[in-house]
Amino acid sequence: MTRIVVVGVSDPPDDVLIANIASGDREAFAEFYRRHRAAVCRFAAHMCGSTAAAEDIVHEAFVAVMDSAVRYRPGQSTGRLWLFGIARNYVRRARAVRPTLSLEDETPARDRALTIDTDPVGDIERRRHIQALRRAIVALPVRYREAVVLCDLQELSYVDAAATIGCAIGTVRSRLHRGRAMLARQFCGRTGNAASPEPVEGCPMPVTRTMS
Amino acid sequence: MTCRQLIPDVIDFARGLALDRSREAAVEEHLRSCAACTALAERERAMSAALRRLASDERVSPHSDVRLGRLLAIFDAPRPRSRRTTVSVGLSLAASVLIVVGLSVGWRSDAAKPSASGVVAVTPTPPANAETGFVVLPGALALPRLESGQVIRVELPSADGAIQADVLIGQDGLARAVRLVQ
Repeated sequence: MTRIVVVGVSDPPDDVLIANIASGDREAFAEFYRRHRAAVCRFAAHMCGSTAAAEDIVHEAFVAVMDSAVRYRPGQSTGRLWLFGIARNYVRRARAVRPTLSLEDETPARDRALTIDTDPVGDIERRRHIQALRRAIVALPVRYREAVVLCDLQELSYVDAAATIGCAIGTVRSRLHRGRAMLARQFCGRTGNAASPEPVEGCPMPVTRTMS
Repeated sequence: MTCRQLIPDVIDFARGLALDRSREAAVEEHLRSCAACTALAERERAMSAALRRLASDERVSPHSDVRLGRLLAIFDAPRPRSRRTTVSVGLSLAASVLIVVGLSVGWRSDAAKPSASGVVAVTPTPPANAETGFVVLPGALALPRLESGQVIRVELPSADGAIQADVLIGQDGLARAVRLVQ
């Protein structure tokens, strides 16, 4: 087994870490985990609406990294996108096994107890908006949800999101736009035109009129 | 341009993406005169702001040495071969079996060819060719000249791992001779 050492670089790039993981380097694996766990966990939580399920997906994805590292081809993808691709498969699998996931506010009681509310009413309102949006995202069909989560929440470019999903750039763009339109309807509970002018509680969106 | 044609750019513009200069100018000009698209842009800006709040609010559990420790234990443990490796090994074995079966069928069809009198001709196994190291397969009619045939290298599973052998295929497509690769 050959371990790659990059001289003069304190944080080795992902490609080097993955090559070393393939060679059995446990420290490289630990570093790769520390570097990307939070992002993968957020991605999985947004996709399935449950932080508990997200933790399971993170675990499974990193176990898969151990076996898949030998097949990683630098240049075809980046380490982060490759990992998102793996996690995406486990998200889809998890949804097939457990199609209804918790949408509860899973903020641990310990975390809430430590929060100091400077504007309790505003904070409650803000949290209600966020919860409503989170529910609306989880209710989206998976192809549109993926586009929204990757492009808007993970802030990937169309190119990177397309590489992660494995589809054309134009497809990601149209899915994102469609997903956002569906999100606006679900989030605000209106059809996207002025016919239902009353804003739904918790919706911060302005009324949208019909396009010509 | 109609609203419908411009909507994708209006959404990207409202999301804060960098459009090229001409597209951005077209969107800005359109928004000055179209109330519906202006409302759409406002909605998309509000949506982006709400999504940013959600993204920044999403808390993940802090890094846990216990979780990492569990993964490292799996990393250290001897793992069974991955499914893909198992499949490729299976395919190699299947290919090897096919080659062996093919060789045996070729030998049988040559060896069991009855003569005109109905008597099966038995050809004694010729000795190895000292120059090339090929051993003529039992029943093969004759060892063709090396340059007139085709040599295919195969890998066969053995108790010690794998052995390699060269199979000499005659111009008629039948295996004629074999040699082990040292």
